[in-house]
Amino acid sequence: MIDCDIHVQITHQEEILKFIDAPERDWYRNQAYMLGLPAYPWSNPSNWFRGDLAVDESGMPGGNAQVVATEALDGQGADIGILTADDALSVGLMENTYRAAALARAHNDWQSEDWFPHDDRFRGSIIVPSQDTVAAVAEIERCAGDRRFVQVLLAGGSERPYGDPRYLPILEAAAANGLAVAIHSGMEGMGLAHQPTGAGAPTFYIEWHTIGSACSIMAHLMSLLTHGTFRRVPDLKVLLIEGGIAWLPGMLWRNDTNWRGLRDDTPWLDEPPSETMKRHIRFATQPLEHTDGNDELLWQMLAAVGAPDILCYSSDYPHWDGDEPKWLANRLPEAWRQGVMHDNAVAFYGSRLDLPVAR
Amino acid sequence: MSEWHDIAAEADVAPGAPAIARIEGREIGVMRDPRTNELVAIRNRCPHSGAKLCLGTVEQRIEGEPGGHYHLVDRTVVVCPWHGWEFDATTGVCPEDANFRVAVYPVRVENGRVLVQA
Repeated sequence: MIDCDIHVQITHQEEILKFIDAPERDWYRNQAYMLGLPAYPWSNPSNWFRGDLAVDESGMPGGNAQVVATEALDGQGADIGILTADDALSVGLMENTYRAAALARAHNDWQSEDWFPHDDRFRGSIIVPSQDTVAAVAEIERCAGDRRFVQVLLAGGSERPYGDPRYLPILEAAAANGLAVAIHSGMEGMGLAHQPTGAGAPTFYIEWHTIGSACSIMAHLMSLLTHGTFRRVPDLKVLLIEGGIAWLPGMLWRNDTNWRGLRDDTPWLDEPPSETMKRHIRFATQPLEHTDGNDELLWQMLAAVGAPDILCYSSDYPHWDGDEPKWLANRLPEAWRQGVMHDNAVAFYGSRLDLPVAR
Repeated sequence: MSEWHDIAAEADVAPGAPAIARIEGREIGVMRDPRTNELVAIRNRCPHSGAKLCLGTVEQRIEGEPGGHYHLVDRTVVVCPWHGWEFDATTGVCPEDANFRVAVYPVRVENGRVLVQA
């Protein structure tokens, strides 16, 4: 099994700050929220995390490499676990561009030096100051030589959808270095990001969790397809994480229909957008929607837009809404399991998954 | 016919410290309700996705009305540690979806020992 979404937690800020130049450290220490990262206006009403995990003295799980290897890799039976940032996903939304760039560098170094050496099964994500394209590209180039990084990770919350040409250099740098680009829902409404719906800010966590996080993923998908991004960057591969998937068939059908009638505005689209999607975009499974007994309908709908090939398993460890791998695999049609739980991720990430890694 | 089984010393069952026993192939946990100090005996498997339910919490249920009104009601629920689904501590039924139900068992204390009928 390959788990495409394991969130590492910053439970001790000094572990990050040791990778930041000494004169800068106090700025991060003195910010209202963690290291100057922007924060949500609401919190999960019960707990952001699964209640059955080991916590360290900070009270949080997921901050210790050895514990994460035990719980998320051994415990879940993962051959490979791809580390995705957590709060630090929002680094590209910090108002202070320079502090964002330094924090992104530190977080990437932290993964390289404090996480990867613990376990050969760990792979990682390069976070970037996406508000400064030049700095973001430089960070990708700096990190790409460490082949344990498999992707560049962007937040769902953004200043503009990622098909916008301002982001093109980031996407090009990723593809040129054999890295995927992952877009993880979340951080909508934070810092520089727009609010998570087209109708304004939600009031409650449950509103954001149901649609807010999906809206940003839908917007990025639509933007990447419509700008012709994959014609400009033919090697680009994109993984969309935690935005849900049951909505996908309806959106693609509507988009393909619109493309037939509206193509004069985007004449570079030389095939139905859903066909482009099938070649370049993958979806992490969690949270695979509950269907109240209608799973067969869901499989039929998803099969119509490319499943099972477009699906890659993700647990979302250590969050409260994770999908446990055995439970998820048992839900899937039997013929889908090997692909979704393993093979699709191997094909998507390529050689960065199977390189021997020196401890 | 179900029988009474000696699970644990009563003093060993505290909020956050359940007693777990395996009875005829089923894992059953006894949890302490921090509000009433009563004991709850419940199967240690969430009917949703299989989490060990007794690693969750026993809580007083919150209900409310539109307009932002919240009330604590006289009802105890066991809250799953994974996804936060609630199960009535008396009936085992999920208040939000009666299709999801976990077994609950009679429990009593005798001579300082916790007995569960299962």
